[in-house]
Amino acid sequence: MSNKAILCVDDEQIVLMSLRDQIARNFGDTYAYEIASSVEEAWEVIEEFCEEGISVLLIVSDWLMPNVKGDEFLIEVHKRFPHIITVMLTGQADEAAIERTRVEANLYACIFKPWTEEELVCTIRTSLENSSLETELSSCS
Amino acid sequence: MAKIRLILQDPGHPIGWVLLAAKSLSMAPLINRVRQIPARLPLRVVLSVPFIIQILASTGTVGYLSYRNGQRAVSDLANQLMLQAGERVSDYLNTYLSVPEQLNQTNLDIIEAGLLNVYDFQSAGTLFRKQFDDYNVSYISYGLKNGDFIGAGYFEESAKVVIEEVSTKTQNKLHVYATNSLGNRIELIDVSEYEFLDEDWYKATLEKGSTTWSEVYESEGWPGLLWIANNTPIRDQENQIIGVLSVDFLLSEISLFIKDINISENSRVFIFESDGLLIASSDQESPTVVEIDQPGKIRRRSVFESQDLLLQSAATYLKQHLKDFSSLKDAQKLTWRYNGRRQFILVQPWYDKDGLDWLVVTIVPENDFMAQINKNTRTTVLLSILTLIVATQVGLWTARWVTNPLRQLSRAAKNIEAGDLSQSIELNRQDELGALAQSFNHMAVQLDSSFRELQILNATLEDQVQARTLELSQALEQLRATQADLIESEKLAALGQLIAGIAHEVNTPLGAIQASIGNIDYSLKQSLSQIPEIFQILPAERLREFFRLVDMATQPKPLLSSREERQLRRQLTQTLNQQGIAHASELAVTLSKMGISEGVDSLLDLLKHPDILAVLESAYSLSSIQTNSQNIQQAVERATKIVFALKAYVRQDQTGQKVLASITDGLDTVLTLYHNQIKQGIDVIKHYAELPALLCYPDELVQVWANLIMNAIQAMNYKGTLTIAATTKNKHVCVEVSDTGAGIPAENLDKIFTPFFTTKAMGEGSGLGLHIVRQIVEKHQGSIEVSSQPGRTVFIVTIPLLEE
Repeated sequence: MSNKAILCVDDEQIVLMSLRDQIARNFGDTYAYEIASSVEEAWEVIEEFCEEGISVLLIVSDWLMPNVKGDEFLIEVHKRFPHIITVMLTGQADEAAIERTRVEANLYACIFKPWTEEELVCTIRTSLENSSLETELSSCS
Repeated sequence: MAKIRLILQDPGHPIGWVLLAAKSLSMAPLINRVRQIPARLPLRVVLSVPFIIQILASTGTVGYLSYRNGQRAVSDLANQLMLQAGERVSDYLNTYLSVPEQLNQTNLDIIEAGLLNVYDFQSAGTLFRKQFDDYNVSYISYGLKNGDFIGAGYFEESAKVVIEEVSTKTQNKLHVYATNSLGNRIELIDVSEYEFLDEDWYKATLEKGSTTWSEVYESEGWPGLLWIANNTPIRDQENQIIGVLSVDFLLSEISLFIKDINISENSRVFIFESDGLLIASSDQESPTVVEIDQPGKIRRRSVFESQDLLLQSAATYLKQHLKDFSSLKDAQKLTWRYNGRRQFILVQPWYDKDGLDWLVVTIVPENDFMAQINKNTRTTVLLSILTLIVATQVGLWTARWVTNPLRQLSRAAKNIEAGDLSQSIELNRQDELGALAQSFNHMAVQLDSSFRELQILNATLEDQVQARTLELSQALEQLRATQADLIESEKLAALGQLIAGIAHEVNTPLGAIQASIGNIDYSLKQSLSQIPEIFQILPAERLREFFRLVDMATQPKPLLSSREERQLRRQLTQTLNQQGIAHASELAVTLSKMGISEGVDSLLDLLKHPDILAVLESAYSLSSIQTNSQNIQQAVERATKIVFALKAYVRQDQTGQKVLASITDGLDTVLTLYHNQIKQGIDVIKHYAELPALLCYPDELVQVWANLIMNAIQAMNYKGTLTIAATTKNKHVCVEVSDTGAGIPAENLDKIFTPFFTTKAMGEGSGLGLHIVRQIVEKHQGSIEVSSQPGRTVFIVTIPLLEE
């Protein structure tokens, strides 16, 4: 199994399942794909990955969720794991929240529901490429 | 009458000024009382009565005080006069009654000096006869132990002055000799027996051994006269008593003295002994009385028997007051009433060293002095009445002087009131009333012209009013339209808020649908290309297992949560590893995605197949067609529900008529619309009782619930407990929306329903929400109440259940 993972967080199970299928279909065995229906569960998953030595490369998170909202979650993630790429997926645009996430969590992109497969996959792909390029550059230097 | 009251209270008004002036003359209490009199009394009375009362009060007081002063002066004068009289009587008695004692002392001195031998009766008789002429006494004598006696004085009940002797020379008989003015015996006129040794005057003096007074005694031959004798013992060289000297003394002269003490016309002075027997009285009443049953026999008169009733009454009063006359030690001033008239009385004890104990009583009738005082009082009363009459006249005249013009004014004012504006008052005065009349006339003229102007104005005014009314009704119409617009805009604002939330609610299923469609498309293509290959590589036995796997994956079963799926994956990885199957973790990922939790054992052979990864991928593609279809169905259901609620919210009531609708449906619509706001961190507790359908405007009520619930959510900042209760009580539907937010500050509680009041930031709230809520509730004849404290804010909407 791959030691690199992509995590999707949304409180809607149907969204999660379709997201995973879309991403898995496009990126194949390159990454492990994990889903979580709440922020709390997402943290559990991240910790499990850490224990197993799997590094999370990217997180796609919904914004409007019970208890902890997506922006807060991504900001916290960025604080603890600055290398993780953050992508927001939301059905309701709260400009202030997006702006804050952009600044404080280095938000890579915000995709609005309903999203298209192309849009999603393109965003993930370019972000991962940029990231790996940066990693290579940093490792070279 | 109200006018009068106003005038009375107005210091600027002439009459108010008059009253004010009266007030400044220290009549404040009276004025206050006058003010309290209900303004029913005629002004004339109100104006004159205070004058009269004042004069009545002052003259009455002056009269009364002068009368009282007179009385006191009389009392003082009477007391003074009585004391003077008493002193004079006392002095007189002291002097008068010292005569017999002095005479006795003189004779004793003569005897002791040896100038007279007590046994020389010739000389003694001559001396006594001489002394009788010199002193105003009745009888001078002495008696010796041997029974001898010599005396000179009046002979029994006659005016003859005689010398009487009992001695051996007279053979121990009493020889009575007539005498001449030289004191010489002329002839023997009577001889009788006389034994005195047992008589009181002799015996008592002997026993006492010093000077004594005899009892006061009367004589039958001399009715109306009283005597007393002063007796003193005669001693020899050895100080032995050898006889008794005696002087008899007439008391009636005391009466003559006190008769002249004339204190007042009817005053009385009288003297009596402590046993009540009369000594003397100023009206010269006889101190003796004739025994009724024994004519010719007399006895002494008691004061209680006095013919003078005033005196008798005084004695009786004194007896009652003093109980025992002899106990009196000091003078006492008393008053009592005789025949209803006050009498002053002074009672003084008088006594001497030899045992006399008398009482001197002075009576002065108050009336003797009051005559002048009463005369004065009568004059005062007459003067008062005269003053009163004059004052009343002056008061009435003043009142008329003031009220007449007022009456004229009043009459004119009434006429004006009745519509006759041509009023004028002829008042030839230069004072305030004159000014008032002038002002009135001026006012009447002005009123008249104003009235005429008014009549003209009135005519045009009607037209103006009509025009204004039209304008006003147009303005009202505009206002109504504005209000409707405002309500509509508020509704739209709420809708805007809703739409933001609904966008998410709708976009979520839409996203899922879109993704699912893509997934199905891909899976179908994938399956179509892979299935023929599968048929080739799998033997018949494995093929059956393959289809069973697909069948298991597509069995209807609850969607696994991501957490459950992860758990299943771990379990499967473990199982497969135990079975020594290659690619256990990869296989477990796909199997868990397909939801294969049981029956893995029966698929072990298939799973051991070398191409299992591709085979399982195909099975997953086949099953994902179905799971994605299910996702689409679920997403559509979600979207439908939201759209339905939205439709319910924005439904326009075209008829404008009330319809029967369910309250709880309305509440649920709002809860659905706000689902995404609620789900973030709010627990919703619903207490719905069985409610009948309510005749109402359902869309407007939904707006009420939307406002209240949205306010509650925002007040709790999207975290807390929202409680919604719907009950019926007393034919009313009662909806309670309570939140656990910070609460509304007390100072804002009564403002929250006023239009444009908001605590939200500019642009967030119109401030109309709760105002419109109340309007809608009131349109349903209902009421809305709010109570708030930190941690609990409750809005209660009560709407009557109207009969259809």
